[in-house]
Amino acid sequence: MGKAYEVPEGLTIMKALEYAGFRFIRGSGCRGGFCGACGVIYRSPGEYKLRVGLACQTTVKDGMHLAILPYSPMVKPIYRIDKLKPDLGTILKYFPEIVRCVSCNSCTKACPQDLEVMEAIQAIRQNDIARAANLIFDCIMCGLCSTRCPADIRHPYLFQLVRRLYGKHLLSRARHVELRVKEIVEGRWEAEFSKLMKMSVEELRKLYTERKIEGGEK
Amino acid sequence: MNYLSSLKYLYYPGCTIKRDALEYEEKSLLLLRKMGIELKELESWYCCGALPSLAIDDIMSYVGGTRTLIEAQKLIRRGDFNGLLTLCPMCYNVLKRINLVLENDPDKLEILTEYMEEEERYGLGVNVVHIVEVLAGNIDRLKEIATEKLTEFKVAVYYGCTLLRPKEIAIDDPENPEIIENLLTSLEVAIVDYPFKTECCGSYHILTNRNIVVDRVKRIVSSALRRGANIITVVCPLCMYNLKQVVKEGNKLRAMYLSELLVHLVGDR
Repeated sequence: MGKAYEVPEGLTIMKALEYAGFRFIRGSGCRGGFCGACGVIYRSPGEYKLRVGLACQTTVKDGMHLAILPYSPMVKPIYRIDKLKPDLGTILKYFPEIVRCVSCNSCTKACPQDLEVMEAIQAIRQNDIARAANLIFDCIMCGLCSTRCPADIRHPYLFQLVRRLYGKHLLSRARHVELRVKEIVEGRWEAEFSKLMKMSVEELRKLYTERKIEGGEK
Repeated sequence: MNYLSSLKYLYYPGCTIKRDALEYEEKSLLLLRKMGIELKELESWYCCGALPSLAIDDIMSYVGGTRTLIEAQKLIRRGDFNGLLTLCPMCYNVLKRINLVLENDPDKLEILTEYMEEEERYGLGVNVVHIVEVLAGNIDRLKEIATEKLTEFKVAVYYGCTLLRPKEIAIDDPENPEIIENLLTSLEVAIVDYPFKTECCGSYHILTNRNIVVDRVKRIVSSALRRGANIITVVCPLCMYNLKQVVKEGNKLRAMYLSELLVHLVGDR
């Protein structure tokens, strides 16, 4: 970074850096575009714009200048989710900066998940927590939007709060899970489990291959 | 101005309506529905910024409002809408002023168009209207459904600032507006005249110096009271918030949104 390296064409930025001799101890995770750990900022020759992406998903280009972001620095608020009301008032208490959004859409352009980030911020402003939570369900918390935001919004933690409020207070509770947990606690499946635990590998394998599959019963 | 008698509008609620003035929205939508006026809320809309920027090069502050106008433009192209209706006078003021700035300064429209590369160009054609204009333009429909007589009400109309200033976007004479009084008079509601109907309530000073607001509101309210009003009617959520610093539940004077007052008149309390 800051030096020129010759690498084969077609590599991702992450692989190119490793090819050039770097070893990642931060800024690398799943390598599949899902964990959000490998944010990278870069400029391409002939282009004035500073672009962002995930190092494991972006291929290198000739003459590209880049830097890996090990972490997107932002202060994380501490709260008790069960004590919060799922509305704009709660969110403004922890993230007052969201009212500074000028709808520039830089966040949306930065998002490697192609989420409608600005729409989500505006949905929060409109007190529509459910819509916001659904818009940013696939957020991987890479923080690249926050690095581009002129309003200094802390999107990863903001969206985490939105999803938590939605899950805890707005989605209906999954009764079937509660019932099943109750059954387990009451020991209804103990006998079945101990039977399985005593089986040989062959018996288990036979049981597994012959199991009933939903929709696939003969 | 014949577009004002049309019956189908796009609707831009604005952020304040969705959190701090839900009852204003509820009564307004109910009233318009009863009048046979159809509203369609924009699928996407953006904070207008609440206050228009007065700096000459502050184009960034026009972005949200312009995006909203472009959303409206897309829907107007697909459907038969005659304008974009607002409830909040600040939204009205900002959107209307953005239209004005972009009409008069093509360079700014050009810069915005370039900047919002992912959006279509704004063609300047969206009529922004305030609910008061639509009510006044459809008085006959209101008369038709006004079944109740509000003989006990003596109403002081409080306009505030943002529907009337600057004069280029005013819904009526900025010095002596009468649009709401005329509307109410034709519905046989008693009006109280007083000199502070366009006086500023103190607006966002409520955030930094509450006393400024309290002093100003006291002046407005006591004048209305002295002249015998028992209702002060407003159309702006911020005016309402500020008036309520002085006007409390159980007082001789009640603060009421115009829509709420009119809903009383059509017999739907």
